[in-house]
Amino acid sequence: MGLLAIATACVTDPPDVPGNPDALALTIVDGDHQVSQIGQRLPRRYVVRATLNGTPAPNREISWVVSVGSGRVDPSSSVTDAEGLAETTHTLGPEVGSQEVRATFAGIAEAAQVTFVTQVDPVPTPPRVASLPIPANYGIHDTFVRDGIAFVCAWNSGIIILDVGGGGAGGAPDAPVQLATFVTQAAPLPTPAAHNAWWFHNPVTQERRYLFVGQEGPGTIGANSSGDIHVLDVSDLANPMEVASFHLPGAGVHNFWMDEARQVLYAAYYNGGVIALDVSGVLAGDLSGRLLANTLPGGPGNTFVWGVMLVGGSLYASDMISGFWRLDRETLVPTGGGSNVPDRFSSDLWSAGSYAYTGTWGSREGTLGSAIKIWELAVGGPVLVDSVLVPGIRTVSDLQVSEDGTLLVASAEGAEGAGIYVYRLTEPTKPQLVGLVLVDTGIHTVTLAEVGGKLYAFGAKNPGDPALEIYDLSSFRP
Amino acid sequence: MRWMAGAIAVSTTVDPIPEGGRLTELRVVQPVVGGHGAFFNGKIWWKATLNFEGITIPEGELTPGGFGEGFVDRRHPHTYAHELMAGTTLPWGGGKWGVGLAAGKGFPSFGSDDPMGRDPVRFPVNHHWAQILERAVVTGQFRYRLVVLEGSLFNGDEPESPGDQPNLGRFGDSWSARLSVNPTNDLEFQTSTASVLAPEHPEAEGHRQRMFSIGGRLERSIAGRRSYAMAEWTRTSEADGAFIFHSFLGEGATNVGRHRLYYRFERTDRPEEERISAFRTPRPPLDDNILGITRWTIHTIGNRFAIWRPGNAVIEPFVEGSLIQVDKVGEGIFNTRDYYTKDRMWSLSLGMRVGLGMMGHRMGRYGLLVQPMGSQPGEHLHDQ
Repeated sequence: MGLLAIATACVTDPPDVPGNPDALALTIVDGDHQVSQIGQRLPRRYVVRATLNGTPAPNREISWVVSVGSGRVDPSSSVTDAEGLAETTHTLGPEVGSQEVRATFAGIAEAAQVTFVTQVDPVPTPPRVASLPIPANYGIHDTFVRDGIAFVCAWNSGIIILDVGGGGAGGAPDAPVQLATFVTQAAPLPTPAAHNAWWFHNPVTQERRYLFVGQEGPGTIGANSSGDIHVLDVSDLANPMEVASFHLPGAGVHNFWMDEARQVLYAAYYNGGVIALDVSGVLAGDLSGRLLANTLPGGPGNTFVWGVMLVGGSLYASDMISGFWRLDRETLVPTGGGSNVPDRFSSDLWSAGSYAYTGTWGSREGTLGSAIKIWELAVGGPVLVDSVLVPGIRTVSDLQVSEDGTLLVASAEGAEGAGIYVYRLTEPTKPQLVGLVLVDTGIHTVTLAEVGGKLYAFGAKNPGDPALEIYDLSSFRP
Repeated sequence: MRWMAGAIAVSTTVDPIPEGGRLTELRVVQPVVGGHGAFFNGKIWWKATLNFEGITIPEGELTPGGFGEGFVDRRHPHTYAHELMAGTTLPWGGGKWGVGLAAGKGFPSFGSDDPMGRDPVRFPVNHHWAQILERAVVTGQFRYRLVVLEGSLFNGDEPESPGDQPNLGRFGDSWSARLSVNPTNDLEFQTSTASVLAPEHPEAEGHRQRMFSIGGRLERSIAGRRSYAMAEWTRTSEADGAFIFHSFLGEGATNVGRHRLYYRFERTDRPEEERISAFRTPRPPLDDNILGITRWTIHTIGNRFAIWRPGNAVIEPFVEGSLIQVDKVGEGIFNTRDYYTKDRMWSLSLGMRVGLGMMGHRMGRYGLLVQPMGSQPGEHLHDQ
């Protein structure tokens, strides 16, 4: 993985033009000779000095243009200070090789210019250990992995239960063994649409009896949704049975989290906000009477919750419209955050220690969902500290931090950058891209799991040819 | 037996396109070769149309508002085997009665004529609400006097590419029925209904579309000018009523010397889906959600000039323009002004139509619909 350094600074002689352009000059002060990977914001800013007849030239507008690659500069123009200095940052595009930025005097076509050249090395690709085709009904949406058992949520094919190292059937991540399939009930909706799952390990009863399955029915993003929670008894993993369900009128379920110690299931419910459901004891039939709390963090008409996560006694919710919230875990009343991602629609979330990460989705007022937001989980609520741009995508569809806190893994969809991104969290607020798998149809979700002492990513590959793709990330840990 | 061939070379400018900006494209659209014929005094007929848009417009044709088969704001290319139909018609009682059977790849009995045979070059937004196309289909027909009743069975899945063929394993998962009335030879009315399973999912893992259409068409000489007018209204319900889309379209054309002047008004609802690029949506969709519904109100006006019409051929330069208003209907996160940067658009097309045997060709009509009441087998086997 040697990193090559290419240093090039190009300076053109000023042309023989009467007046100012003859005497204007630009020189590189800092930022050249950098080496990085795709999508990274270069740690050192590009700095130039403008001079007029050898003397620093203040108040000169400098234009910064990406001349090679599809990265971004910010700002695209800047004014020289008293010392004639101007600067910008460069966030790299998805191209491997050489990426360049040219600095020129704005509006003076034939004045001096300089070019910064950065070498962008390929990012290592995690080895894929297995690719399991999933029936194209439509395909695979999400995977829940625990104790070496993978529950594949395969939409209208229902739940596929795989031994990937813990089921006693000889399965492993590189050779999954199917234990069972089960198609959850569709009614009253037209299709089962198995979207996500959670295998409940009850510390009170010591049971591992229940699998909660979310059904995602038809809806209009930002307005309405449908779909219920279905409960399977998986006491016998080879013979699951559906035993209960929960319906929230006027809304449909999305992602889950559990407070297993308190036997509470938290569910994101899109326009229905967030619910807390008592899942203690024996679960049977209609669970409507077990609703403990329900909240709309952004208020009516401004709520469309994608996911929830319990961390350190606080419940966090990522709302597509109204941003990143902290909620009281018992009352679900918002206690911080909110209205803090106005530029993009939000997607999934993951909290780890004092920090959290949220994805972004689709197009909001022309801005694509190509960013991972980085938050500090402060006393008053989540505070945005930075963002990582992921070039060449339209949506960060899922993300997760490894249990040891060293890696952040994100799945991406749309455009040429779709796939799986692996970041090292040596500094949690500055994820460093260390691994990348490009998958042209996109990866819808990614789930991390430790099996046999190794870290694996279970990716849901989109159609055509939907598949569960399993990658070994062990070598990316520090 | 008659043959036909044609193509349209067109330069189209649209402003704005998705995510803003203006785009001009020069393309060859609707390049077709086809023919139809009959045997045994018209009792056995065949019809074939080959379409080469898979070669000329693999990325689709710039068409603001257009959608279908994973394309948005572009019209998808048609399949190479656009129509391969054959059948039988058995009239009796002086043509007062008749039965017919048609089978092959083509249009199920639903809605109005395919836009390819109509005056405007620009396909309407309602193309996938007002027609069902490129399916493996069997259609039964019954006529009594002025009325023709049709029923079709077909596969629900739309083509995935120009070279794709209907999924025969799904044949019969969808059906349609149409009632047509011809009070006179130049006036017709139709009402039709269809139930199409999961057109966007090759494995039928989507929802059923329930479709309804009603319309009328007039073609006659008025004050010595060959004139045409049609109007239609459609309603499509998807996922047991979770989504409902309406469309109204009216168009007309008349000859003025060598000029053919035409106008179309359309107001059509379109689902907005997550996009994987400016002009594409995922196929199949990854869930059952939409981002909202937009309503497209479009005025299109055009003029074709027959600079040369030797025999059965035409060479017609044309100009066609559209003014478009896009409005959001109901709720959802899709915001037209944010996405397109404006809610009013325009398009302008300049081009040349060339054709042989294309005059009056009506796409997607078979058997008894082509054979007016009162005619003898073998007569009027060509489209009017």
